[in-house]
Amino acid sequence: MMIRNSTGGMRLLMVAVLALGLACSSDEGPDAESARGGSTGSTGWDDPVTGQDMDGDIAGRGPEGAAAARRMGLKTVYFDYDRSAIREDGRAALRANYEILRGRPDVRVELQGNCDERGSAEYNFALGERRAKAVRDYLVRLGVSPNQLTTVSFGEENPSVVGHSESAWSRNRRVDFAVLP
Amino acid sequence: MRRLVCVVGLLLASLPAAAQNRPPVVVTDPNARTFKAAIQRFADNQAVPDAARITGLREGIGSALQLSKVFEVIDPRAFLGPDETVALEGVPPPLCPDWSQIGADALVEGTVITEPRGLAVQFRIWDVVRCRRLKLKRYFGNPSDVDVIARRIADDVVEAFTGRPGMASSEIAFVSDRSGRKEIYVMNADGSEVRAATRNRSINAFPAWAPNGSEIIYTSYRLGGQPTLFLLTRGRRKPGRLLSKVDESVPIYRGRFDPAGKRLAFVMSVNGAPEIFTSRRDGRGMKQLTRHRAIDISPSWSPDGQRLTFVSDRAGSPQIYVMNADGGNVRRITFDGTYNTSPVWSPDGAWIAYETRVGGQFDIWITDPDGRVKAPLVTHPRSDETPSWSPDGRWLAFSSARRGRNDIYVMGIDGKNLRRLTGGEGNNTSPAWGPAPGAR
Repeated sequence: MMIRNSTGGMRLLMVAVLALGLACSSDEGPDAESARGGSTGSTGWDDPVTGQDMDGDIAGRGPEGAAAARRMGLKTVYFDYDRSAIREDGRAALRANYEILRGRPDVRVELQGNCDERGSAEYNFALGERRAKAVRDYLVRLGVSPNQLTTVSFGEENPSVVGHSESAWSRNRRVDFAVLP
Repeated sequence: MRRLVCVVGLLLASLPAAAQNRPPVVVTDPNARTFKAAIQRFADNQAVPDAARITGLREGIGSALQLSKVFEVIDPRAFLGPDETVALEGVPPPLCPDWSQIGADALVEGTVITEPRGLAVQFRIWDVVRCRRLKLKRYFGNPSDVDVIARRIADDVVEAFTGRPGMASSEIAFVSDRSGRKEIYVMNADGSEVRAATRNRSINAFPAWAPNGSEIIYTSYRLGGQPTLFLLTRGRRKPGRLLSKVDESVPIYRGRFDPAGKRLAFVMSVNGAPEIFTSRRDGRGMKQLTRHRAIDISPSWSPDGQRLTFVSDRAGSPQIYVMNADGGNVRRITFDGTYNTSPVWSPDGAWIAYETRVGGQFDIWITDPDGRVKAPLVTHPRSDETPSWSPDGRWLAFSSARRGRNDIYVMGIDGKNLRRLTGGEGNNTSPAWGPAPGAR
């Protein structure tokens, strides 16, 4: 448990003995240690880089992809709590999206899986992935080229509605469409 | 090796579900409040002593000791011996009966030394019952580091009497959206000195510490595509990449170092199915531990590095499993309810804490690694989630929505001393308690 195994600790020990020159009446000298655990004076975790303002960004994705998907009329698909099965309203939305994508084979879209805030954030990463994959598989079965589709999960990290009630949750359990550049 | 004692756990094991109606506390810590400490006002080597600093040091040591749950601090007005250390050099042992007879087990005495380069505090810890000196030590810091030094001294007092350092000077990493984005922050274990550790305005999640206490692994979308793992290093500005040898187009998340700090366990999706892998830091020597079309996530190492606990929904709902570090000997250990996640192995290896869904919300339970004994630890009508053990195993940090928004709380594993560490700023989640500073 002693910090003397680090060279910094040794150096501090020497500084202690040399600079302070404090004699100790007892049988052995004191253990010496930097209060900040060998690091320099600062607490060592401050990120000094201030990020640029990128409002509208989601995880490095600009707002353009979502805006382009809206302009094309691509619909978001919603899910039941803790489920990744595509509901009847989702199947209707995906048939409409299929018609749009079929006419635009040049367009590639990212399917972004999302969950509501309840439950394990880690499990929600996986659940968001499963929802995005369910949408992808459904579109491919309808006839969309797999090359037009990529998936990503944001888990519970990117709610579209902030709130702690079913009305917010039901709109956050979703797969969004975003047009890739 | 101290073990937690499960008092009524065996009784509860035969009565699964319906947790809310039962007393939430079943684990007691036999070391809790075992000792009493007398803390002298430290001597000051300056011509004009800094009274506020001396007082602040004693109060800092006292409150950190009080929070250790191991010590009670004796009111100085009860002292028979001197209230103030005269000077540490050449001083004979204390008159121990003066201290033991007021009920003290420990006496802390010391001297504050101001020097051009900063501050030094030399101190001695006595077992006044046996009249033995347990420790003579000196800390250095900046003049503003009085609180830091006080916490280190308190942790040393705890270690001198229990064999394990206290946790007052450890740190807790967590996720907060207080800036409008999910970023990683670090604070002291008492909630003080919150520092932003990332500021990339992307999504950052799942902090976890390296055993050296100077590195934090986390998951981020900062590259813009799929999430992957990054490494923060204390005092270094830019985060490092982990798994640099691995394809960037595959989602990778939730990394945790093994107890040696050499290998990582993490989740990587294989054809859309999350699987658990281990590898060296750069991705070489990769081993796939799970092969299942279901979700396999949330790996957490046993303290000996021989096993992992994880979450799988291969049986239809997310449940806790245990397997060997090579992926063999997979065993399911939770069977109650339809949602058990976020398992974390205790530092002494005896317990796994996890979150479980009860009705519409979540509580924190513990189980032994064989799944025989289960007991609720943190229960509330609102959700308590993502437990993380303190390095001494006496506390759990977790996030709770009991005040509406999520905040980080800590609670003794005996169910007492619940304290909120964050508040007023955004949602605070995913706490990860760092190692004791002695390990750094």
